[in-house]
Amino acid sequence: MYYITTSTLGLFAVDDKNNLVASQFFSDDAKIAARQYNESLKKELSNEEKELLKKLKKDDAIIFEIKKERYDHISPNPAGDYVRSNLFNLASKNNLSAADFSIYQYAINFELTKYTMQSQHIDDKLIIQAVSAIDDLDKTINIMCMRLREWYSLYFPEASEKLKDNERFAKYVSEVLFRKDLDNFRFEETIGSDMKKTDLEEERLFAKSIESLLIQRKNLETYIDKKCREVIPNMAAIIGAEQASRILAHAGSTEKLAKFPSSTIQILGAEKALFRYLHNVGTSPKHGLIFNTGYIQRTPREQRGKIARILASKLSLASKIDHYKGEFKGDLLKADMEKALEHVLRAKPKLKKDRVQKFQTKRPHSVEGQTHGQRHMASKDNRPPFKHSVSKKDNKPKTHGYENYLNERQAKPSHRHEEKPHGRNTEKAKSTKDTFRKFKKKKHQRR
Amino acid sequence: MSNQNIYNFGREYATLSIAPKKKVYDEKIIRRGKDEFRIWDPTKSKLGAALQKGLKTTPFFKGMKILYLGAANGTTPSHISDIIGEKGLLYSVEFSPRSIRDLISVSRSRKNLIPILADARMPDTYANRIEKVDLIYCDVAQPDQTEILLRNAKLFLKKGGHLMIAIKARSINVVRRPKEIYAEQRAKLNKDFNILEELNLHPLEKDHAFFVAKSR
Repeated sequence: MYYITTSTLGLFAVDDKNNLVASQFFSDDAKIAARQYNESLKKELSNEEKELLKKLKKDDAIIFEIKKERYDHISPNPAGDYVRSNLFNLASKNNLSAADFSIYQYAINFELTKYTMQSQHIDDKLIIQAVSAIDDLDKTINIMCMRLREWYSLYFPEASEKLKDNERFAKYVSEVLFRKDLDNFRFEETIGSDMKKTDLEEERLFAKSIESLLIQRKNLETYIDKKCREVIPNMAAIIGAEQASRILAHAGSTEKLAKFPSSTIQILGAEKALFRYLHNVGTSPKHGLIFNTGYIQRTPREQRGKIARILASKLSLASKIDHYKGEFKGDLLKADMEKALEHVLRAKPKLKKDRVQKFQTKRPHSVEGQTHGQRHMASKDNRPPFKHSVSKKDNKPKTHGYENYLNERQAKPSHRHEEKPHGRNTEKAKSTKDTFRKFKKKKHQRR
Repeated sequence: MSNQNIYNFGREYATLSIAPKKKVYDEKIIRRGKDEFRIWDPTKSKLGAALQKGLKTTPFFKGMKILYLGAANGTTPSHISDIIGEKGLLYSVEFSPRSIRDLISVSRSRKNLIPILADARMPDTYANRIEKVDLIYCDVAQPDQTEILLRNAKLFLKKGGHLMIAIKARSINVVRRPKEIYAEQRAKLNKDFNILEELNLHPLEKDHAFFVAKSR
């Protein structure tokens, strides 16, 4: 029985008594050796492996470390252990001194790392950089426009008052530059002082650079649109390219985004509120970055949690389809979202006493012996249940295990029914109260 | 602590640089003749923080081989690279390509620092590139960081080798008490290793513990 392993030095075969039987060293040149190493990790036998097999008795079993055609493999492999314990000795067999061995190890590992770096997919990273560039541009444009307004107002302050939009103002300064009648205002009545043409020209150049930044921002928007259609089409179909890329930027990569549960996507961006809640202060956040998508802003406050949850579940489906390159379902998901929004907007408005106010210590769950869930069900209207066309549950029959779990759960009383101090009145919260004093909203900020 | 490769300048610790005139992370430099000493910033490096908190077990020697899990941008690895000298080898595993970029530029002037872009959770992906080592240093902020260390130790640690791990309680669980979390990790390490030293890195690092262990 022979065990074969690969290493940076080359291929080695070891018998079951842990003796080295044969070796096939790689090239002295690090680049060639790196290529030979990578070849040995593939499913097909590399040239060096074929050479090594010629040196072994053909009758005995041969076991590799990774799946090779026609051969068995186990991992960890005794040959691997042997080689890792004796790498330096094996190097000296190939006439490598200690110093040369270090140099060789460095060089070949460097090539392998370079290969790993260059074979990474960076399409999602390009989107993230572009959307971050848009954010940077927005900040810069804002700062420069404020400066331009201050500067130009020495000459014609009424222009800054009349032209509130930054883009229009910058265009005015760069194209018109001199005083002109605006709306009902006659330019002769300005309180600004006169300015030489040369001084005004400086302002025009500044305004021109702002305009070029604005053009660049629009450029990036179209670039992001194009890129999102390739990389995250489903998510972009539901909430638009820019919002989808912001969520992608927060997650870091399509892989991470695909692995998130929908509850994480729901609160991406509200980490401060989330960890505050986990440390027993306040209520849990209902939405984070997804707030800016528009669906949540259009719904009344009582329904926002629901719509945020539905949106997050659609987005999590979309992100999985995007990362694993499945069939495009973005249009169906978007249709679902529109239907859900409509359904939620048509709901019966809740009574005032049912509403849970923020930072309230009492949870309305033990009123008149009824649970919160039971009271919620009683106030629900008789609308037909909402059907999702694309959903996580595939109408699979519930398995034995799940039914058992449900039965067990009903047998034990839920912890929610106990009267425990909650929120501000727990001991922990009282001790952390001072730490989180800064999170406490002022009276005029509370709704 | 009496390791001849780690120097003292008043209350600060320093290492003798093997790549003079090349700064890694904006550290202070002290020159004595030809020698250049790099001050070890305890707020930027967990091993530096452990030293400040009185770490006594420092099983470093010139020419040793170390596996570093979670090398990041090379702040702590650069000091370890100084300690083990040009004859030693520091296999640095890091799984963020952005950090590897910085680590590679550090390694260009320190040829004993070998950057490896791989996930420490899957040691099989880099097992064929490295060899057995005298010490494994683990600084990955992951919920299963102790398991990652033990899996790597099984494959790569020589008999009688040492382990060093900086345990970040908040990576393992956000709300539980750190002391309970440290007790659990201690139990996991105690199965196959003798714990030589345990330190709390407060106030230099919040909710961090530092363990040094030796294989039985």
